Formats: sequence, C-alpha cells, structure tokens
Amino acid sequence: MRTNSFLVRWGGGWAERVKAASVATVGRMESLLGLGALGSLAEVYRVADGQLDEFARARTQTDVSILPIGSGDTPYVGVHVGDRITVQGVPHRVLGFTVSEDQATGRTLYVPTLNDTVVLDPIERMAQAIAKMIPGTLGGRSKVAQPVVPVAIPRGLVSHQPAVHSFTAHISAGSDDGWKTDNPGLSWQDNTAYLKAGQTLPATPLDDMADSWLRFDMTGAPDFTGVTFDSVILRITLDATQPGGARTTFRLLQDATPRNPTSALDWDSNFTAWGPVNLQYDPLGGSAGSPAGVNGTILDVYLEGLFDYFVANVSGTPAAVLIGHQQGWFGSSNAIYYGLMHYYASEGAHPPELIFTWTA
Amino acid sequence: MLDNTRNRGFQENLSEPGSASITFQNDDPDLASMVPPNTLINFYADGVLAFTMLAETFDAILLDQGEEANEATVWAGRGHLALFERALVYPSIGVGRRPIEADRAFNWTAIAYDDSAWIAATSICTVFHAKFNPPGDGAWDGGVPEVQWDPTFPDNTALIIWASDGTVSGAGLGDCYFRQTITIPADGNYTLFALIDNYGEVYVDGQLVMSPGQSQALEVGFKTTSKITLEFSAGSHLIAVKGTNAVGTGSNPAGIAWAIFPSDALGNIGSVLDHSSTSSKIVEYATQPPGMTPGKALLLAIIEAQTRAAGDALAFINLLTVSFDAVHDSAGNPWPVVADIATKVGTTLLQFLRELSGTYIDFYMAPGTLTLDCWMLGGRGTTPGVDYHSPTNPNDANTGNLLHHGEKGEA
Repeated sequence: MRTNSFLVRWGGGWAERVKAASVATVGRMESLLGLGALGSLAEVYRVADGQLDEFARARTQTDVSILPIGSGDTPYVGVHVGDRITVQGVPHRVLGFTVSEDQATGRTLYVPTLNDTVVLDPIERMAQAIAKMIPGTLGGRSKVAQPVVPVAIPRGLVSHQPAVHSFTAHISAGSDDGWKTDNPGLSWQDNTAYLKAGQTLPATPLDDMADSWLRFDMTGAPDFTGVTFDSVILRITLDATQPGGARTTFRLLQDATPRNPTSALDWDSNFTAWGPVNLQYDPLGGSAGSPAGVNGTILDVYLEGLFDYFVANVSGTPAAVLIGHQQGWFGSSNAIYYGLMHYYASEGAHPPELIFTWTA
Repeated sequence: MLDNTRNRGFQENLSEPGSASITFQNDDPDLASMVPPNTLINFYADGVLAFTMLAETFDAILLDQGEEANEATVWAGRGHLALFERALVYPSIGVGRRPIEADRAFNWTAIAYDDSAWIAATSICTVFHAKFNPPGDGAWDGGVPEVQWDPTFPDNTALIIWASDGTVSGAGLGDCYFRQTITIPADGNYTLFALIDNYGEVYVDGQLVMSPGQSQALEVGFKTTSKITLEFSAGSHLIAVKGTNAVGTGSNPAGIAWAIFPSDALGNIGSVLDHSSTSSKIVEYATQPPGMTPGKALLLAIIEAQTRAAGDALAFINLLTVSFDAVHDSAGNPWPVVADIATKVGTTLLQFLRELSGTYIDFYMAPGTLTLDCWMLGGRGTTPGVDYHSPTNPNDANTGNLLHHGEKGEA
C-alpha cells in the first residue's frame, strides 16, 4: 500500500505533508513519519516531501538471476552495487548482490537486487523506512541475516568458476611473422577492428589466408593459483572454405609467458615445448586440396585436451593461449572466425562445464 | 586462504553493511584463526575481492551422529561497515553537561558550528524603549498598546537586535539567524526569557527550548514573554535564535531579545547574567537555515570518536580513513550545504550513516580496506552499459545472460 499523506513528528511538534497529485489520483492514504531531532520546519518539509516522492508510488520488486557471459557483465568485475544497468532494456539500479556457491560444483552464483529491495507489507515497509529516518540506536544487536540462496540454475548452463576476467587479444600483424611458410607475400588485413571484436577475424577479401594466429592474454583471478582446468574446448568456425585449398590446421597452444610467435619454428617446436597443450585439428584431412563439400558450410571445430597451465600461473599473472592457423584457401567473400568461443573445464567425475563464453 | 571452508556466501546491499557466513569443519586448523571480536574475512567472487565480513557470531556443532561431516562451525557477521557500531554520536562537548543534550544538531544551532563568517547583529534599541515607547518614536511608538513589547520582560537593558537594515520603525521580511555564546559561572538553575517580533525559535546548545509567537497567530512573539528554567553546567553555552519578520512593511520593525538569570527551580530569578547584545552574530534574511555539509557532519562525529579513543591502537575508529572531506564527496563533487542534520545523542555512527543515507548520501567501505567512501545520494556507481537479457539467438542459449526475470509489486 502506498502512502501520500504524512503525519510528521519532529523536534518542534507535529506537522503534515501531503502529496496532492497522488491524493487526487488514488485518495488520501495516511502514515506516520518520525523525523525526531530535526529542528527546522522547512527542513522537515524537505525531508518529508522526499519520502513522499518515494512512497506515493506503487513499489515493484524485480527478481532476476543471471548467467554472466564475460567480464563485462560479471558482478564485481564489470558491474557493481550502485551501478545503473538495464534488464531486457529497462533501466534499473543495482541495490545489492547476493553471492553464494553451488556446493555441488563450487561455482559462484549471483543474484542482483534491483528496484525496491523487497515488497513488504505496509507496516513492515514503513518500519523499515522509519528505521532509517528515526534517529536512535537499535536497542541491541540486530540479527545477522543469512545470505539468500539464489534460485537454482539449470544444469548445462553453468556459471563460470573461477572466471578469467580479463582477456586481451592480439593477432598476427605485419607482413611476415615467421609463420608464413607458404605465400609469404600475403598478409593480414588491417587488424584494428579485429582487436576490438576479439573473437572474430573476418578475412575479407581474402583468397588465400596465410598462416595466422590469435593470442589471448588471460589475466587470471587471484584464486587461480593452484587451480587445474583439465579440459578446454576451442571453437572455431569456418565459413565456406574454398575447394582446392591447402591443409588447414588449427592448434591451441599454451605459453606461460605471453609473447608473439617470432619464427616458423614456434609453430612446431617452441610453443609445444611449453606444455602439454598442442591441440590439432585438420578438418580437411590433412592433405592439400579440399573436398567440395566443405564449401558453403559453416564448420565448427572443437579442440579439446588437457589444459593446466593455470597450475603454474600465479596470482594475477597473465598467461597466453595461442590459436594458430596454418594456411588455407577461402572464398574471396568468405571468412574465418576463430577465437576462444567457449571454455570448458572438468574436474574429477564432474561433467565438463562451460565456464567461459564469448559473445559476438 | 580458507580453502577448506564451505557454504561461503555474502550479501552486499547499497548503503548497508550486508551480511555473510562461512562454514568451517571443526578439525580445520584455520578455525583457530577466528579470534573475536576483530576478525575480518575477505570474500572473493570469482577471484575478485568483493566483500569483507566482520566475524560476529558463531554456531558450532560439537558432536553429531553424522560425525565429522556434520561437526562444523558457522561463522556469520555483517559487512565490516558494522564496525561503525563501535562508536557513538556523543553530546557536543562531552558528558556531564547541562542542559542535557538529547539531540545532536549539525546545523547553525550547534556549538561546533563555524560562524566565523557571520557578521555582528545590529542593535535596534533597548527592550525598555519598546516596552514603554513614547509617542512619535517609530512603530514601537505612539504609546499604542498593540505594538508595545511585553512590560513583564525582566531585563530592560537587553538589546533588541536585528539585521543591519532594521530600525525601530521598519525592517525587511524574512528569517534572521543569531548565535551568541554565554558563560555560566556555576552549575545551577537558570531562567531564560525571550521576545521576538514577529515570532521564532530559541535554542540552547542545539536544543529547541522555546518558540515565541509560534502558537499566537505568528505575529505576537513580542507581546508575551516566553521563559524556561533549565539546569546549566558551568562553562560556555550557546544561545541561538531564529527570528522571523513575517508581517511587515516599511513601517513594521522586527527584532529579538533575550535575557538569562540565575534562578531557583521555580523560576524565581536573581540578577541578570547576560542578554542579547551586539556580540551576537547574525545571518540576515537567509532563504534557508545556515547548515553544514553531510561530509562536515560525518567528519565531526568521526573526529570526536577518534579523540575519545586517542592512543587506543586497537580501536577501529583510529584505523579509519575517509575519501571525502567537508567540502567534497568521494567523487570530488561538492557537497550541498544541508540546512538541518540532526540525530539523537547516543546514535551509533552506523545508524547515523544510515539516517544520512535516507536523504543525503550513499556510503560504502571497500572490502579489504578501512576507508569510508561517501557520495551525494545516488552518487555511488556508474553506468557500465550492462544489459541482462534473454538469448538473442533462440537456438543458442549462450547469447543471453538472463536466466530468470520476474516482477512483483503493489497496487
């Protein structure tokens, strides 16, 4: 129930404030507002009018549960208490977060509090408001509230844990980065847009896309120390490869120290020497010349394998994931998109869980 | 790192301490590090330091049929903003003073208010003159009984004071604010008398004690003397008066006058101790009462608490820093001057912060720090451009980040 007429108790006695517009619309609804020690009637009016602005409207509570996609929409990384956000395009202010763990998976669950904290019955609501307005001690220690357990998140859509919260993408640039064993005269297109996009590398126009690479520097969260992720899936999408192209191979490599490949040897030796991750997928059979059937299709490539460099990655230290492509033919108006689209981890008997996803 | 704990969770709320809890197995050696009452636990959300809990209560199961699995201890507590409950808003100049200061004002009536920029009040005439105004001597003149001041006012030598444009025959319309410090020579009862043309309010050490004319059609605060007998402790005290000239023209004067006498408890007075004079300072015709910023009020309360805890290395208040000052909030934006901040003496600093958050401020203490941030109301936060939405591609659940969206409301 809303309120549009306050009987105000203040230092000088009683006063009354009415929000006429609301009274004209819904009728007079009275409540008590205690302002205690305020000594100026003008200030009493100012404070009471502010409260009437709040309580003369019908209050709404918005309940949401979220599944952050990246660092940008992850609580305490990209969005904080007090921030103004939108939900389905409707503006809200974040009044709080409830954060807890799923005991089965250890994942972090977030429940934002938006709009009014809670829709209370009128007496409780006024008591809550007056608790802020009436000066005075609490008369004893307040009960410590337990955090609310958020609603369950369906299996298969699993919140990340613990998330890499900072990605910096670098792609090969310049003429010959040492990976171009074939067609060295070709080079990457302007990379500026790609760096912004992060996850897509349209090669347009490009007939023969030479060897290329995409490097993600990951800044791990502090509690990455000692955490082992034992499975990673890299998704690569090929859009209409050209028949007759050369072998197309993708590799996922790891490097404890972010760096760019500097020579052709990096592809086969240096990077693979850094750890067990040397994932390879050849969608075209590993031989020159492509079957025509690949043309005109979108091909998702999943690379999966052990991936445990975070074991050695200490708090806050960036590490790199390198995605390599070893030459291929593509239609002149076609594209190759690749990047760390999804990022799975599994531990023990638990099935793989999506812990990171990247949106277009 | 409390790696062996479970059921970890917290709830952070805007301008509130929030709460948290964490469960230890009883055989967890980390449990020994929980030493009340000053244990703070940092909570990380996906590796980001997000919340600091003040460990306040524990619930231990020492023996259970489920054995070790159920023998655990839950520590719970509010966010470390709860540390502000360890200090109170004290009376202005400490305890033991009279009159008893029930309300602590952070405005122009406060003893601690800085009135160095105020000017001296202007003397209009003596009360004697206005009581027995001779014919032809201005508006308080003519021997007209309707405009004579109350003849029972006990101090004829008290000055009627007002703004610099005031005369015995006219003054501007509006509110004027006066402050004058008096010295009480010894503990005892004292009676304060006041007259105001047209009406107003009288404060002693920040406490509203009289409202001359307020209940008399708002025009005749000079026709009947208001008085109150109070216990005063020896030392300096502040008499603050708001005077309103509400009905006036060029032929309508305005003024205030007061006098204080030692007396017995029944109000039988001795010789005058002090009265209104040009030692009063004034703000003339202010559109709103002179005030102070929320930052200034908070700093006063905090600094006083630090002074009381001087030399106490364990006191939280001595470890506290703030990211705002009396002029600017934590974002560097200038505070508004607020006309009337007040709270009950004995209010905890946490409750004082919460009261201020109802109308003036957002407040926060970043996890892992003891630095208080305060912004103007609504000032905390940014607009990061985040939208929680359903999947944009109905065939790919990963194109959305909103799992559940519900609303409920009231009529």
